[in-house]
Amino acid sequence: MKQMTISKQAGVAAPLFSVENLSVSFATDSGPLLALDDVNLSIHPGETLAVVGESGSGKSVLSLAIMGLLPPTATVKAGHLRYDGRDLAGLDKTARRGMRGKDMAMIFQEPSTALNPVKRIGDQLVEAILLHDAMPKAKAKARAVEALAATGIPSPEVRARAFPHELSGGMRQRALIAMALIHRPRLLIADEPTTALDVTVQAQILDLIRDLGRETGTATIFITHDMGVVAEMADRVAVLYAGRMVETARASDLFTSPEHPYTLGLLGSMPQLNQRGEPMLPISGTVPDLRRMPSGCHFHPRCPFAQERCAEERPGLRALDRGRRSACHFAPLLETLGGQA
Amino acid sequence: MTLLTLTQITRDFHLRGGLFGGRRVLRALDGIDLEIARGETLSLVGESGCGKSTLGRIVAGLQSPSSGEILINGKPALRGKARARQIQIVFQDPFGSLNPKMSVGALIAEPATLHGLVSRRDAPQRVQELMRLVGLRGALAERFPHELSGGQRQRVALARALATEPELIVCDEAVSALDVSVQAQIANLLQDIQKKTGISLLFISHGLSLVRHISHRVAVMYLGRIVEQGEAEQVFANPLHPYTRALISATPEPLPGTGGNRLELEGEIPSPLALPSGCTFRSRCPHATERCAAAQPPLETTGHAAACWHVDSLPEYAPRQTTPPERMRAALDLYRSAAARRTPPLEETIN
Repeated sequence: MKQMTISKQAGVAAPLFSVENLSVSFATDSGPLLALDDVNLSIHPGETLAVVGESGSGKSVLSLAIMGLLPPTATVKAGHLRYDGRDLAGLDKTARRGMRGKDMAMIFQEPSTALNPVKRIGDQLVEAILLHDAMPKAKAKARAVEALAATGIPSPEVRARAFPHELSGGMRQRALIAMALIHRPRLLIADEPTTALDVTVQAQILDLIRDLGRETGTATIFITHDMGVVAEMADRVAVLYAGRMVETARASDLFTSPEHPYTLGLLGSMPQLNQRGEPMLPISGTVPDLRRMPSGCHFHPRCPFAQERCAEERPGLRALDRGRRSACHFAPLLETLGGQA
Repeated sequence: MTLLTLTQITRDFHLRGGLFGGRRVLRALDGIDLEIARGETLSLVGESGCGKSTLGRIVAGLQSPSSGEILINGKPALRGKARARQIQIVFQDPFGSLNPKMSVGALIAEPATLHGLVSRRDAPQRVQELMRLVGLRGALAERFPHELSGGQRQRVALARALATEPELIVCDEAVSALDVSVQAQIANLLQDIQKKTGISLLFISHGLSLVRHISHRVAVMYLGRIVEQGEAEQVFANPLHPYTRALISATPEPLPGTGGNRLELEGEIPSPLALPSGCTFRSRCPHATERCAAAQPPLETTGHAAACWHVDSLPEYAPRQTTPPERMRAALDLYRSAAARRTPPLEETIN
């Protein structure tokens, strides 16, 4: 078991992991594309941070950047990743590989593509164990079965001998979670881990991730576009739009008083927050092409509150009360715009 | 007026049971009775493997039932092209159902000309009408599927379905793969089209939130049977079947402090090859008794009803808190009124 190293600075615990001013661009045939534009976030031990965004928001690029798995076409233009006080920029590929699975691990949306289809579940777990811990194979096998049992898989000895296709989607996701948590990583990235699952299975998996996180003090970055899942899981929320962070807040604050029009649009797209039978309040239009970004605020062509200023001036992520931040010229929205309605 | 009547629809799949296993029968649908009225949205909800997609395909005429009767407007359902004229289906993945080598215009014109509804000469005009109906800019007719966003592709699939002027469209997880904001756009579009054309919709989904929002009636399926049906409002306000309650309870709500204290459902859906006797839900049901193993509970086909032996003795349903906080509601209202004031509407200035 690892020791929690929480260094105290002026009474505030240092974050386990932080992303500072991260910009990532991709080389494409039609020119460079800025997938992440000056993104900042930090996460403390035991905390769950939800990163919310739709396709094209850059949330998957963010998770790959954190894991050190960006493809060769990507360039980190600026910024730092800091893990437990260490700057990861200085580390070579081998050192980063040494961290993956041990210090930080990831769970993907589609468990069937993340598992090797021709290898038994138990053998894949044993392989993951031996990658970072030398031990006799029999001991590793026993540990693999224990790990499966901890995720609530019934008759784990039998499942360990199964191939991935012999398990249901929910079981496969449990096996993948067992694998991700086998070395007790202090940072877990869950990239839409329940999107492909049925709701009752989703509920089980969400509980599992939350319970295991609580037991081990793991910090979890939970990537999703489902505001319902965010409300269930997150301590804090960061909303991404077209490569930029547009709002961050404690989850309880975000759902009480959203302070960016895009966040409002995402909430308005949830059927639960609309009157039955009435048209829903969607976000008009589509996510912009990252190669032809709108000027000023990226959201202004789709924003019902947009004024001339929004097309000209990029709003920074501004601090509001209660530690909230919004990248909207008009935040706090109700105070600034409420008089117009 | 009733458009579609299904009576005792059963569908078996015959499987070979391995090298020496002999034949086995998988009953995907077991005695389904269902009616859809004109202009009505009926939703089929349930988890993977409950048979909802098989039922949708049978309604659309893409599969035949093993037994049972299908009536359309009181007459035995036609097959093949004649059925396709009346009932169309839209799938989850429009990328898989649109020919990548055909332009949007050609894709939308195809069903209309195939059914002899427009001449080749008038086809472009009909294409423009249909594109307007589904909210696509006319200039997109020259484009190809790979040049469109997921939402635009699903609009094309919908325009193709509408081209035959059908009486019913089966939407099989038609919005499940889309981003949430695009799901809301397509759901609004479906309701709008229904208002304009009086079309009926069979909406198949594993997610409950959207179903609650757009359906008139709901049928909840579990392992090939309907376990509860009724007016959507009643089913969601007072779910009678333990399975429906578990589904509603498992659906995450976008409200503060909703985590935890769910009605947990134990285990997973059993294999349809080894169904429990009696009520098939009993292996996961917290209220199951000996009676549930002995015989299958019947389902009333009128009003709001559930197939459960204990429907009268279950604990009273405690609905979850669903009112958004005051400030969130005020902000959403502000957004809504600002969006309504925009001229031209934002939607048209972008697509």
